[in-house]
Amino acid sequence: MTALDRLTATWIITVSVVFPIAILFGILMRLNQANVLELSSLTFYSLMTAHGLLMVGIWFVMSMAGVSYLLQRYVNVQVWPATVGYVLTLVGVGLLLAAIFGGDLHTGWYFLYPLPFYARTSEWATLVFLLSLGSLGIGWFIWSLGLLVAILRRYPLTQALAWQHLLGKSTPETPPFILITTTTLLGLIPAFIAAVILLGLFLIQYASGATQDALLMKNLTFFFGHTLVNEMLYFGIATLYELFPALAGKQPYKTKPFVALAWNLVLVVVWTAYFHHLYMDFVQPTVVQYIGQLASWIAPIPAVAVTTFSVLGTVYRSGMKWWLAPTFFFAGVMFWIIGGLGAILDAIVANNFVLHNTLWVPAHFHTYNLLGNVLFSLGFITWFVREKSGDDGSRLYRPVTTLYLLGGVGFVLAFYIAGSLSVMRRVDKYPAFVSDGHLWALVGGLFALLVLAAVVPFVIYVLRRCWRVVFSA
Amino acid sequence: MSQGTILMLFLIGAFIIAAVFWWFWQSSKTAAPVSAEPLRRWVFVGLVGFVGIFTALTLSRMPYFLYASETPARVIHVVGRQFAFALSERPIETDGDYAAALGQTLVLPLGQVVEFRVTSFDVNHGFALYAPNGRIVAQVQAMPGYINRLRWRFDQPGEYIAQCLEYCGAAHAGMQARFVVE
Ligand code: HEM
Ligand SMILES: [Cu+2]
Repeated sequence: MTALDRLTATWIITVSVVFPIAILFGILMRLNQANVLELSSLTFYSLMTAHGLLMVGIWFVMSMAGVSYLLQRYVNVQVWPATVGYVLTLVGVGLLLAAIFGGDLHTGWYFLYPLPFYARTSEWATLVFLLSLGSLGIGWFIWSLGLLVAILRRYPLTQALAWQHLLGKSTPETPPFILITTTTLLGLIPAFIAAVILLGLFLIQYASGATQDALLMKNLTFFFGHTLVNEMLYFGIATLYELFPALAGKQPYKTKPFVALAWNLVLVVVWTAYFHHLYMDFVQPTVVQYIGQLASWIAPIPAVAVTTFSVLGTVYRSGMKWWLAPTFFFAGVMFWIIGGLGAILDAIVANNFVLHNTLWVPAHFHTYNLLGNVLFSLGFITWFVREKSGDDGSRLYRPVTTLYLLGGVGFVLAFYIAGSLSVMRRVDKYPAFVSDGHLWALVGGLFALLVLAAVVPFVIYVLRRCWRVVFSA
Repeated sequence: MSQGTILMLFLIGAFIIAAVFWWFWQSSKTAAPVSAEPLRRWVFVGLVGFVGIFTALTLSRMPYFLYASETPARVIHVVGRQFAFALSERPIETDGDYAAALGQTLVLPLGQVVEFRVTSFDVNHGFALYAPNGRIVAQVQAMPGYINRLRWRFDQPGEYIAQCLEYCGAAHAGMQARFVVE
């Protein structure tokens, strides 16, 4: 086993341990909203903050870990940037949990300014929280930069972006995996820069008390947060492009001009899509709102079009064998698109006027996370486990896929329905005028238990085999 | 579009997507050499058509210009602060103004344009108007340092609830104000 094998297995172990715990937090929240449990408001919002940050964190790093591993097929990947990323992630998460559960920090996952100065009971919690974000940010930045440098050593930038294919030439070849990984890494850089500025402004206020411009802070927050979550999905897609054709017994995908065009478009449009988080801030310049709706609609189209086409074309009359990995990828694409539909309906300003900050929002992002991006990562994990142990988990196949997908669909459906009934998100106890909230919280919570029932045996299966990779001679 | 229409559209769309994927899944059980080339065009044309139609239909219906050409019958000043809203016909600038306006129940006119000037004294809040039937009819953010103007015409009489819709701390769920439309 190589150092990269061990590091990848360590990532998988870490993520697999945190995942069921974070799901449990989610179920506790849903059962509290259903009035089945009685949590204090502080506990509820601490769980909510921890759940959101842990989930985004583990699936972001897992998608990066998958890409880092597969990248060695094409370029020389150094292990140290990823190792720095790992250590700083652990430090960051430790500080984060200290701030949340030790200092009662309960800002929600995107810590909208100036909430970190209010939603805590100990003053140090704000500082520890900011340090934690700094640690995560620096770790991920070094790691991403390491990957980018590794790619650029082998492919000049124009070639990594497949511009020769854009112009219709077929050589030299840029594999889709390199193209998507490069656009995603480049897309992340401005997001990290925004995060540094944001953090700096927070720290200035922490040290001097000078208040910041709330609109600027909100723009920075969502530019960072939206872009991060969006790019995490694209890492997942990169993994899919690399692994799926072989899983279906087909030739690797080639970068056609249309594919090159799609991902180059994504690189640019992704930065403006975040504007949809500020639709209800009427003081934001209106032209920006128009750009926001257009970008939110245009951003997913090319990626969805080429990916759907590739995946459906690969599956069609393939006679392929369906086991955990290809099933996860296939289902992931389907729910990514369905979640995208929920998202673009909400990204219409006129609809957002009545859906903004209702449960419609967690409805769609859980669709393309729990049932999309997470499945891409689970696809990678099961593929990795089979590579290293020879075991494809066939005994788990039916129960795990059935419970996970059934539970997931029921869980998100309860969010969609409640959202359309104007039940608000991020509320621990539903006021009497949205009493519909209780029933759907119960339904969602029960379906989520099915997901947990699928995840626990799956995680045990993965842990056992990855443990052996880490500690093999 | 009403919330119910949006849900229906979503469910229909999701069903179609799932049906397409199901069909391809089934097809994978037999093996045969095929060209998927015509499919690419089909997927692409479908998506572009969908986007074009929806953009054209919806871009004109922005809430920023609602009743922009009319003169509002009433102007209501709104200030959010953890964890209550103060609504008043007089500007709310000081803590004293805020305290005086708290807990008053305003009566707003039915069928006439009302302008809400919404801001916050501390963190971001959301100012969402729930109609007597329990559905959101309009909303805007309450941001410290900025005043968001929301114009609305109430077509349904009864008791309305302004509910905070931007998470603002532990007691966010109970952050409300009431007013009556008649
Ligand atoms: C079965 C698994 C899951 C359950 C039961 C669950 C449950 C929940 C619940 C109840 C909420 C609060 C909803 C509200 O606003 O009232 C929530 C929020 C959230 N969840 Fe999940 N979730 C699950 C999986 C995931 C996954 C896989 C991700 C991401 C990759 C994720 C990311 C988030 C985020 C970012 C929030 C927002 C937190 C905030 O508002 O600050 N969740 N989840
Ligand atoms: Cu509030």
